[in-house]
Amino acid sequence: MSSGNNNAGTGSFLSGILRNQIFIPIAALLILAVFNFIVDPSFFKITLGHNSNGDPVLSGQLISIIDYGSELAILAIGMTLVTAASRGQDISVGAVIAISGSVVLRVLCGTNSRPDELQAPIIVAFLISCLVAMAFGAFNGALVSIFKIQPMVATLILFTAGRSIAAWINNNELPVVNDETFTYFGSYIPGIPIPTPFFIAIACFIITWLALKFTNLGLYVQSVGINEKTSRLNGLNPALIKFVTYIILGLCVAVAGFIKVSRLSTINYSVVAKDIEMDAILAVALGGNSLSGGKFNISASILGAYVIQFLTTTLYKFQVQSDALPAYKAVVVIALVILSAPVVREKITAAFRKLRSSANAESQS
Amino acid sequence: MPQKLTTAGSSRRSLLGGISDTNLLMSITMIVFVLMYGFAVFGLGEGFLKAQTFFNMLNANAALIILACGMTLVMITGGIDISLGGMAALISMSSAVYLDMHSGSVVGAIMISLGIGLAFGLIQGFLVAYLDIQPFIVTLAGMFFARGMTTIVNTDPFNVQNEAFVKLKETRIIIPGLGSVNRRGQYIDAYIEIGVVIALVIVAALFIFLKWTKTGRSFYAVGGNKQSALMLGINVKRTTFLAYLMCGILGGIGGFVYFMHVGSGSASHASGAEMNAIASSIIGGTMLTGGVGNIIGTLFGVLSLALIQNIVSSVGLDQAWWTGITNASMLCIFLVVQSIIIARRKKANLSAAKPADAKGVKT
Amino acid sequence: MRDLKSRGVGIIFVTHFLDQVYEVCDRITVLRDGQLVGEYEIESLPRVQLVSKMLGKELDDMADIKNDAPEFKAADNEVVYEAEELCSSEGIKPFDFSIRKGEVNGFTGLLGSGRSECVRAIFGADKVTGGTVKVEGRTVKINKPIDAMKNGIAYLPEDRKRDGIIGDLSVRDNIILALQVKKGFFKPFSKAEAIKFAEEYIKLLDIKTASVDTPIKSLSGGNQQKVILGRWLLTHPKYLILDEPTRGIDVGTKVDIQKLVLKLASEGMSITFISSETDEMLRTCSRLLVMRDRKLVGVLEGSELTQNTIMNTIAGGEQ
Repeated sequence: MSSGNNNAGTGSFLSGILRNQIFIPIAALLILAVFNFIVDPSFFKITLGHNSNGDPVLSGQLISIIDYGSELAILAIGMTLVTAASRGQDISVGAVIAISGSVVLRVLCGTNSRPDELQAPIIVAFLISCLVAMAFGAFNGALVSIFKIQPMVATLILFTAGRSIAAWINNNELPVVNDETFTYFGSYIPGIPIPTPFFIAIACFIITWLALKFTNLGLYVQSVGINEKTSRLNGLNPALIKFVTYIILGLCVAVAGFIKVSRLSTINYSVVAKDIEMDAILAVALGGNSLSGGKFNISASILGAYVIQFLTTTLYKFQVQSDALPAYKAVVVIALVILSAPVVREKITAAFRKLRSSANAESQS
Repeated sequence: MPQKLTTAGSSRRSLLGGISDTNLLMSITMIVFVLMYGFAVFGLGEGFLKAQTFFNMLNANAALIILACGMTLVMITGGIDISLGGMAALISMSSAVYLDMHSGSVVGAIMISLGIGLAFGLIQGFLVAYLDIQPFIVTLAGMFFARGMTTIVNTDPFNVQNEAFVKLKETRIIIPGLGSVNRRGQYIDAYIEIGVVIALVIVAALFIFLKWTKTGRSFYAVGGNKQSALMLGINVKRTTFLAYLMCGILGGIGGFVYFMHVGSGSASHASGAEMNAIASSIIGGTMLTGGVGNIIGTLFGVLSLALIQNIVSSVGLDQAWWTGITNASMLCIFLVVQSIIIARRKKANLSAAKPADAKGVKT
Repeated sequence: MRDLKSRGVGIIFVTHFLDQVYEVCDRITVLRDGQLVGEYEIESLPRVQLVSKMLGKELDDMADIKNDAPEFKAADNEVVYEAEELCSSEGIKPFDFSIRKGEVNGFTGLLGSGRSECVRAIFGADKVTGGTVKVEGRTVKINKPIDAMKNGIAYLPEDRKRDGIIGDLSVRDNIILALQVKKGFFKPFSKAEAIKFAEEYIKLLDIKTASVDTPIKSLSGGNQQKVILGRWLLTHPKYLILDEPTRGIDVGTKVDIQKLVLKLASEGMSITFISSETDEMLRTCSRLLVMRDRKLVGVLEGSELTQNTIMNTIAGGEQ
């Protein structure tokens, strides 16, 4: 799935499909779309309405998908880089979102948990939360790159402690921001009917695209993920590159956390971004990226993220409770990793070949 | 350097070195445990002197001991299982629903628990051992599946009322001679719960299994070096599968013991148990890289974590978040210590290789 | 081991270390290129003959030595690279080494004698633990591969699969990798430039690949080797180290690579060439450094360059 090239002789059709990574999320998207279309065509209805302030807003299931899928898409960018370089995933993203969200509120509200006006400009709060999230990313990155601890075990530390730290930052109070501008980032800017998080996600995508185009980030990350020894012999510093990917992920987490707190103007430490690590990993896998590192495709991961949100929205529509969602997604993850496991792929390829050769034999006789 | 000789020699060396490292880590843990206990007794008052305080630590952590034992097994083979906490929650909820809403029997609940553990062990073991999928991904999915399923089984937390179960839950095994006298001058017996007995029996059984059975030793071989294990004629896949299967069953037992202790079903039960189990194993000297580990160490790992929590809450840091933060810092410290030990051992192996060469030149 | 022997345990001892063989063994079985050469009693097989069996050359037909290659005039050119008392964490004895512009020299010795470790120390691939290094007369520090690359040194590693290729990446990315890293993080080549470089070297080295986008792991061993060679030639090194460039590849490519080495040297590049096949080295090198048991034991030049002297030096001077 990652490269789709180790079975060159499988026939141009199959390998052609496998080679094109972005095919996987598109196929998943189509299946979901067709399914929803058959069950209930109104799923695709988009209406232009007005919110309580009288500003025009679009609403509908599709709009909520691009709205709520945005945090996930932003996380998927960082998670893809981390996966590619360090051959493992960061499972602390949800907890660090709680931390960075908590920092934003702490800076905006100061010591008073319900101030009438902001204690600091929003941009300052955002930048501080970026620094904090990058510091936590650096913590994970140091454990992985310097101390050579498997990524998932290293990030397990913050996975468990993160929400406690978040609660501790605000002394377990639930500050509420009372400011109109602050809510724009998580909902709508007056006059623009498309939700702001979608624009933020697009901005992040463009920045990443530029970074990949004008630096060697992509080449270095893939080289390190595929073959660390060779990378070192070609003058790269694998530890540094892995470390940097964790810091980039930290930045993505800060942006996602900022959107999360902006949506509600407050935070619930144990619930905010719950289970999002699972979704982020799923987005990377659904984007056709190998979970054991190496080649990656950011666009496919981002598309994967929106597909996950599509799935979530579909499940919600069938009255599935939000706490039960992980069970369904876990099944999807397992199905994906089974299909991409080398052992299984060899079997499938062999079966495919057998089928074709028997077909050939028939046509000859 | 002769190729064959080097591999054989260095693996033997690292095996010996590894065992002494475990003993080192384990001794550190034990000493730290005793010192901390001493500190608690002198610094924080008489409470810690009572035998019951110690027994309460066992009572509260019997389930964790069993889960950590399962974790140690898979970690020795070089794997990991983070679905254990979720499994315990799922088992509690399923048993609770079975007992109260379907008026089931305690035996049935035990069967359900073991069945769930067995199912997780079988599926996860198959995926990891035979399909060669990263254990972390498999068991992460397992964890989310278990947590999601718990909600599907029943949304709201509730206490179990079933009489037979409540009786079982409240069974206390009195330890004679270790009781204490309370403020009103009454003598109160020291007691442990049934779960503690189960946990200690499991620890003893696994200790024997890992130390003296062929299969137990092959766990270490597989975790140490898959290639060498294969050459020694060990069925690596089956051994890995067996480790996950045993871990699953231990998860089933541990889940039921957890359920016996809390007596309720809730989706948020046993949250963070997987991290505590991993931390306990690591603190007790099990190496994340596999091939090194010790059940007795794991027992002390659990007790150390429990003691730290006790101390932290009795010095006044009793907000809920301190537990998470202290546990995570413990895990972090021990992980870093381990990684330093691994790095140093690599260096030691290299320098051990040099004198051999020097000798070769001389002759 | 002798203790085990006295207890009646039969032992098969697999090694390159001749000293150890003569120390403990009773009987020797020699294998070469996956074929059984023969089985000998230890008393009846002097060291030199053992070496000749291992290398596949009889002592008698050693006279037929080169020299079709033009003799190299060593003293004329300036020294490109010079090391004194260099040693690394991989347990080689400190050694002195130097190479002049346009010179081809080589490290020889049996497999595992430390010849690869020497060149790895030169390139900074292993942890360098001591010694002084001069490049074109300037004292420099080479602790990491990037230091060596910045000083115009290139290194084609012995184990192609482990240290050479980036399997999943395309031929194009594999070719530009080293130059790209040397150029810097913020200055990526445009796709057009990368393709131009790749196609240039595919043509120059006659690499057989479906396209520049083919992943390198689907190429044959010889072509993979050429890609890596192309990668280093693209950096236009002053000093090129080739560690077993001809191992595991077809005969035609082997000859191509040897010719290329001589051509590059005549254009002024300094090259260190390591091969398990002594006649390849005799054909290309003007100076040979002989290693035994991780120690530099001799330097052979001019008329000393014969199979006979090489074997004698490897075996330790005894007849």
